[in-house]
Amino acid sequence: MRLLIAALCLLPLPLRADPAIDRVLDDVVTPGFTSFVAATDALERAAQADCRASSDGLRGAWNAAMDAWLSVADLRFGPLEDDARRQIIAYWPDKSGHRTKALARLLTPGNPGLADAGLFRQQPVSVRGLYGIEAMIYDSRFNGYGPDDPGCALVRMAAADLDETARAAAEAWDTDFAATLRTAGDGANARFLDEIEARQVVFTALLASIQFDINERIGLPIGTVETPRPLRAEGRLSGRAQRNLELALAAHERLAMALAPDDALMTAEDFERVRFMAGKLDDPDFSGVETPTGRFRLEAVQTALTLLRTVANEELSAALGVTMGLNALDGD
Amino acid sequence: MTSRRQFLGTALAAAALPRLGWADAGDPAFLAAAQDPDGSYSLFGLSASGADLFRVPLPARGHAATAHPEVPEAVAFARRPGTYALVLNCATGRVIARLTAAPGREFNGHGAYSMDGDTLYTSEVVALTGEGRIALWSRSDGYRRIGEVASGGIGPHEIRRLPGTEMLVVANGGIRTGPGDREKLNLDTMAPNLTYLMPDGTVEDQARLAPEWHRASIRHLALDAFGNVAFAMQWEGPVEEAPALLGFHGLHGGAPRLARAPDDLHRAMQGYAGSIAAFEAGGKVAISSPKGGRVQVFDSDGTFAHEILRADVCGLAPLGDRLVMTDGHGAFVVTEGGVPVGHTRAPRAWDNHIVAL
Repeated sequence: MRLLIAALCLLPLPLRADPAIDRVLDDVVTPGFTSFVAATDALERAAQADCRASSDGLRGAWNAAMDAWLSVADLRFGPLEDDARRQIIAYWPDKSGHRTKALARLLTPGNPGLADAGLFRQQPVSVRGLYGIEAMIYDSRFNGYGPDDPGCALVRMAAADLDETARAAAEAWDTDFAATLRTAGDGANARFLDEIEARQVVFTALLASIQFDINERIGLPIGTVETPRPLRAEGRLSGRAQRNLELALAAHERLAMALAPDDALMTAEDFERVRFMAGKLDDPDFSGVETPTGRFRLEAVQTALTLLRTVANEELSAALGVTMGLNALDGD
Repeated sequence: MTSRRQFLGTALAAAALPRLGWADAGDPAFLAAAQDPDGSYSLFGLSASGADLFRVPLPARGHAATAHPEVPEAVAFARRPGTYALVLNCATGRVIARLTAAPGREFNGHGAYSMDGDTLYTSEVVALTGEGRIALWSRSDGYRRIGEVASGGIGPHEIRRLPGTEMLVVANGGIRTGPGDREKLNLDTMAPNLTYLMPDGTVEDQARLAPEWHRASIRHLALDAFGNVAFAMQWEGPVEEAPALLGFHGLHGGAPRLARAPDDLHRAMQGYAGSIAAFEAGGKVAISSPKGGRVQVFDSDGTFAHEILRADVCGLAPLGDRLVMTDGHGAFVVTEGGVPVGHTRAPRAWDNHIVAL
């Protein structure tokens, strides 16, 4: 019987920089985290300057931090997954409604959780991070606080905590994880046994991020035909559901093009089309899912994104030499 | 026990066949099913270092395989609900028999041989009811289906033969599915068990979990040379309530002993163990969670030892004191003491199991 050794890559591969990984680091990770940390810094300063929900400075800084987060959120491996950082930064969706209850519990005068950073870190993740602050400054049940109220202390504490978490993730990338990715296949690298594994982790994160948009960012507010769920939209409170989707799509596209700039032409075309469709939604908080037209438009984006994901899977896996796994999807 | 008829059959078959031992197949150390990049399915024979030795196309998605104890022959099973099993000559890659599920029966992905290798046992279900069956197939009679016995539960999955005996141990997963599909129909009432039975259907022992854990489906088995059984489970309840996913039991051993990693690590398994292997002469047992992207290793007394992170990992097999793992991204990794010491990669997605020969 003919041996198929020819079809097998015998490893380790010779050590050399992987251009795909270099582009991911240079085009996505480094600029993304630089912006994200700058934005969370600015948010912390804005909260110190004026913690009130009505403050234009605070709202502007929070929106900028949200924008910047979406440019790194696709990096679903390494520092953002360690120490529960993703949960801390962006706990969403909150399907069981933990956030409202946890905020109400925490917002009591003299609560030590609002006076000490260490104690704040022990609070539920639902009150921390970007969405905790969003609720404080956009939810009418919470945003009436004055400068001396617990709400003010919470916003300042959450902004500082977010900044610290963002810095920790950025530093972990800088001092450790970027090198771990770049040295895939090095004998001492137990995390990535070869170049393919480094590409694989980025590729898998990209597809998972697109799936997140399909299932959660779009799928949650769409709900069912009988029961649309506009209140479940991400960014419902701040009226930026559409903006979040558009920025997420742009981030997916940047990551895809960093992985395979020349070999994913159909994927690039699909991204252009889906971003155009998302830009035309004219539905900032996705409340349009309750109308036939609004629902149809958002479903059309969801369908187009589902097709895009299939195309991206085919083109990128071929270009990168990676294989989409099957065990995690449906076990036995 | 081997009947006189079986014995004579084996003797005749042995006389008629050229004497090919496992070494003639290029010494494959493992069998594993995979999905190829074009979406088709194959069974691969692999060397101890993970090199391809042969490839046999499969008609549909495969699951596990079992090797004949003496001759280079193996049976590859379809993923449940399975309609086929292929008997392969691993020296030539030729399919020497095709087993088709009997009317109203479905293969459930696993099987085992009798001591003399003349009887193949397959885990099956009655398609309409999910009731478990162990079917008997006679190798010397051209792999004719010669009978079946009750498996002792619903939805049997893996079956193994206790070393040095004809006794079978069956993981009755407890989950009833509809005919021809994988939809789970009885999650509220499921009651998995571990059943020890003889090929004539006599049940020798049966172990169950505590009632509050009745939704932990016992699905996969690993045995040491003494017949001590380790079993891996898949939790069908709310994931945050998942109990231990690993259990230990021995014939007439009473209640199973359960083992789990410390809380954070246990949670990361997401209530799901997809495969199990005993290695270091039975001193260690590993379970894999493709959903959690990790393999957790325990001492045979149930003490958690360490974990190894690998995305989409599922297949596990012993290689002496080493542990081999395969994943859906095409990697075959050999680890020692939790550290990778060698690997190969192929452009294919390794499916749930890798079977040591």
